[in-house]
Amino acid sequence: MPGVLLQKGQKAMPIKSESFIRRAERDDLDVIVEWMEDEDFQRFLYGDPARSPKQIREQIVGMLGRSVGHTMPGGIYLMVDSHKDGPLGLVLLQNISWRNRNCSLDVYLGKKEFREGFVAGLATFRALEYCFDELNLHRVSAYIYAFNRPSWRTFEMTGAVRELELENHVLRDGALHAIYGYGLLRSEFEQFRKKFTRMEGVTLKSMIADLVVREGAET
Amino acid sequence: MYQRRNAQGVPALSVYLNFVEWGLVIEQTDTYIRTTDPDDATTLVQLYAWSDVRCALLDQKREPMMPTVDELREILASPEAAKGAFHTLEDGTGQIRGFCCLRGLSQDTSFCEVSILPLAEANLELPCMDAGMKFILKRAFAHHGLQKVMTHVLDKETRVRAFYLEHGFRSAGTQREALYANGKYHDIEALICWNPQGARRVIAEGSESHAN
Repeated sequence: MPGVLLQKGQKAMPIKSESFIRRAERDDLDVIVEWMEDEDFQRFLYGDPARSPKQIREQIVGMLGRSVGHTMPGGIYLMVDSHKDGPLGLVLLQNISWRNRNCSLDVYLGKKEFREGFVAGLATFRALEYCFDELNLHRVSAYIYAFNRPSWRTFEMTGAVRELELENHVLRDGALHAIYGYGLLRSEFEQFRKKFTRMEGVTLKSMIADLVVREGAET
Repeated sequence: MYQRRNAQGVPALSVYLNFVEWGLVIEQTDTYIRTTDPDDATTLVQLYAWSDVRCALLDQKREPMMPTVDELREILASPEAAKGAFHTLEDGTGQIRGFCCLRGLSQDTSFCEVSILPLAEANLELPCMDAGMKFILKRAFAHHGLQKVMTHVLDKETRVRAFYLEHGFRSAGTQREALYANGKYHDIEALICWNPQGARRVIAEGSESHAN
């Protein structure tokens, strides 16, 4: 709890959240397109230097338009949703390499009031759990613009290492900016989980258990 | 203007490569640089051997490719290849020693990816490989006016890495365990070479970039 000093040996109170992640569906297309038209989406999300904004937009629309899930897709799109506030953002797992067991991660919160808070960190944490525990990946990468400090700070907190610094690499507002390339290995994420036991109440597993309880209560 | 050596054994001549359309003149002994044509596919396919994975030949997901000769022939017949993205490097005897290429040119951010591909690592000691590297850098900087060029190498490609460093490249960092090949993970290092003259490519509306 903020402002409360813990005694030695005392455990911090587990974190709870109303937000959850789920697979993006065709019904989400309108809200995603609305976010994509926001200039912040273009400014912050297109972190992959290998692909143009047009390619990414076409890929997102194409992925949402699919009727059945592939067993080994090249990309997976997840929605950050909330029981209280509705859809909050989008998690993009792209360039999934089943051979190298890695992918690149982008997290975008369409609702601006949630960007710098706990929701962004929690969505990143759950997306990483999904990558390592469900997809059995070995490494997750992220390309983040240097000016997007909240985003790369969040990723660093999970144990990710800044591996690349590409100066003058992306054009925004008429000027060239640096891109940081981050990498997080499974072993590093395991260490993070061991260290931050407060996350136990908001893991992917507990989130799913909570959703099951809620669904049961509604029916 | 250039002269190509007779393939039947005439002694090598000093060769002048005059790429008038690019404003370049490369003077080099025992070297012939030409646009890679579809018939080079039979030589190029040797680079894709399983036992010798090369970073420059990985696909967008950083996975090794296994193209056939016919597929490579088709790629080399494509408009991009015809524009001169791939170049074949021959020594004074007319033997192909490797390739060099310039790909993924980004107009707005003023950089591209370059690669040098020797058929064997020992070929990096040959004058034609040095000429190929200088040629591709001149093309990127003098012709296209780019601010920088990038390349990537695997941790096991130590000789190729040293070759790039000798030609002005510097490390921009290493992505750990990013490729799985030959039974283990490999690191991929990004190398960057900046245009010593600064960029002259227009990077934004009404402005000229001189970034470094």
